[in-house]
Amino acid sequence: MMDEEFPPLPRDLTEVLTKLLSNPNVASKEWVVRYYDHEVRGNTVIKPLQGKLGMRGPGDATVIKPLEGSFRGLAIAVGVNPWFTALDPYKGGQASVDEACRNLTAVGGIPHSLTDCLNFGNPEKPERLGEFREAVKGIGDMASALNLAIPSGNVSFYNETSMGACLPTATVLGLGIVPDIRKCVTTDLKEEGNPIYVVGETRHEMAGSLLFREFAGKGGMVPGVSPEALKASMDHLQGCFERSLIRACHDISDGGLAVALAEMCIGGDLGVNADIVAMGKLPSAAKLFSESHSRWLVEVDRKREDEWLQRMKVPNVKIGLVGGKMLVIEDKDVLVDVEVGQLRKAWSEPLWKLLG
Amino acid sequence: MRANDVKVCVLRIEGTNCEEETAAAFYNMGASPEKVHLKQLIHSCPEEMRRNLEDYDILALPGGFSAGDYVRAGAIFAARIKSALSKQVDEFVSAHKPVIGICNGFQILVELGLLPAFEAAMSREPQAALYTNDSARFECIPTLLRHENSGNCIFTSSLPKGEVVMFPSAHAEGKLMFETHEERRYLDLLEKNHQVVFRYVDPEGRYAGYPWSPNGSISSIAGLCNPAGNVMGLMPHPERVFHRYTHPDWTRDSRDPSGDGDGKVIFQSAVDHVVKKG
Repeated sequence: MMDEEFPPLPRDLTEVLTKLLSNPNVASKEWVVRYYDHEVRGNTVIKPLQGKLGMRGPGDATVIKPLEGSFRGLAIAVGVNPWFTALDPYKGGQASVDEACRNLTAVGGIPHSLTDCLNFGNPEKPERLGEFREAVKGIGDMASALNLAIPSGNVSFYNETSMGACLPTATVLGLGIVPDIRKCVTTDLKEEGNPIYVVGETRHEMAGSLLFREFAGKGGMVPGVSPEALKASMDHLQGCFERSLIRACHDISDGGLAVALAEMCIGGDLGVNADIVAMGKLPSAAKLFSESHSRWLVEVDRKREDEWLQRMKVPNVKIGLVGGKMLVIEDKDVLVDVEVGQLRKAWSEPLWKLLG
Repeated sequence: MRANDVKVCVLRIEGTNCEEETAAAFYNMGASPEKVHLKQLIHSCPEEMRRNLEDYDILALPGGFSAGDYVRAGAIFAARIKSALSKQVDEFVSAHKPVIGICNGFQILVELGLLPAFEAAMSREPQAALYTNDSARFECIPTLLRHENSGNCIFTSSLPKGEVVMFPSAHAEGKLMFETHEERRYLDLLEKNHQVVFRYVDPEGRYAGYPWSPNGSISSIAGLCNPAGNVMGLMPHPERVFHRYTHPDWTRDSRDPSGDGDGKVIFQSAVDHVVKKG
């Protein structure tokens, strides 16, 4: 591990947030989503774009209801982080499984099985083969620990030119069972006054993060994965989905908590007043932008908050309330203060501009 | 007649891909739909598979990419119907039996001359076209439609005029066009004959531009019927919102997700009509 060099950031973290939202890897994929018929057969229950009609916010997973006579559904989601994999191939492989699982969980699905799509450089070069070996081991160990089958997969090598190899890209696609599609949840915020919780532990894990990539941070820790902690959080969340305590849920990945929170505002066309002091002693920028795994943001039905607190015996912390049309985040000082409309613009437009 | 006795022909060829959900919508109304390949109607198949159009009460042309959308969307399916089944289709329509074309089905009805059909049940040449969307892209997107029909259209007889419904769109060629020199006259005819069934609107209820109208259709038209009101074509997909749980925003409110979706009324109106007629 390299010593961390935290990059200098603009004083106003709103500027940082909107820049991260506009990164092509984070920005809305509407350009391509709308280009394909994702509703054919009339059984797409949870769509790839979510939220208030016309707001087209992001989704973590899609859900189809394959059988006319049953409310069971299939959730489908992917996970991948080539930057983590480049820095630490084993953790990168684990990260793909973790992300796929938390995406499935976020709509109310129970992870059932996985498949993968592994794109790497020339395996005749020892370091490329080493990367591949470790990434596959990471995926396999996670799948074993979570008891998920990987019945299929696909490998593509030699993705390399004289300029170098592609980033080691170990994509995992997860399939989840939704016991009752009528209890599915989307990422968009629903109702003013509902509390928002962060589920899972936020650590100072900045290596490979979107923040470090955009602002030239160096070194640091690649986020680690604990399958036991992931499993515990998924089980507790599933209990809450089952009882319909959750109104919105979004996994925390690229860009960290701040990006995930902004995305929930975009779909719901609602603001949030957040105070992240309760997240502990980490630097504010780490609380906002660290990409620690196995985390979700959850909007809880305020009338049933007690029930939520009783059930959630895994790390979780309340960070604010849904309300208004501004996203305001404080950590003693005001860090972010921005209109939801401005967040939507920053997130929605980049791919249309890049791809025409 | 009971709903169960209402026989629906859901007609398909290669490339049709919305026959399951279209048949399911009629089935869920209590009717008896059957997915029928065109070859079964023109008897180009083993004897036990042969079917006759006249035995059905409703004809549904589902969405998809029939014959790969080659030439023009719907053109090949329409040409094949026209060459082998013209008489039967003409008789079916003239008998005032309901015919619905959704998305690719609407394109087929226009190519066939069953819509707008100003002069006869089936015009010899197409009188309109569903042309490439203004965006030049395939558009899969929720669309809001205002019901504009004054009551002659069988498929919207249970939907109050002025009501706004959400049927999703998914097409690349949905821009209704007329020959330029006939544009004004045809639009007037559509109004006079009460042939406009749906127009695209935005969430404020105003006639919509892009993307609420995903294609740039003339006069924001999303769906038409013939002057007799028994043939309806529309680009958006009512069969995809038969249930509330396939609406894009159902997770946002407290309505029962297994309750009715906006599209149900289309199938209900048609089946009710046939049941009442006996």
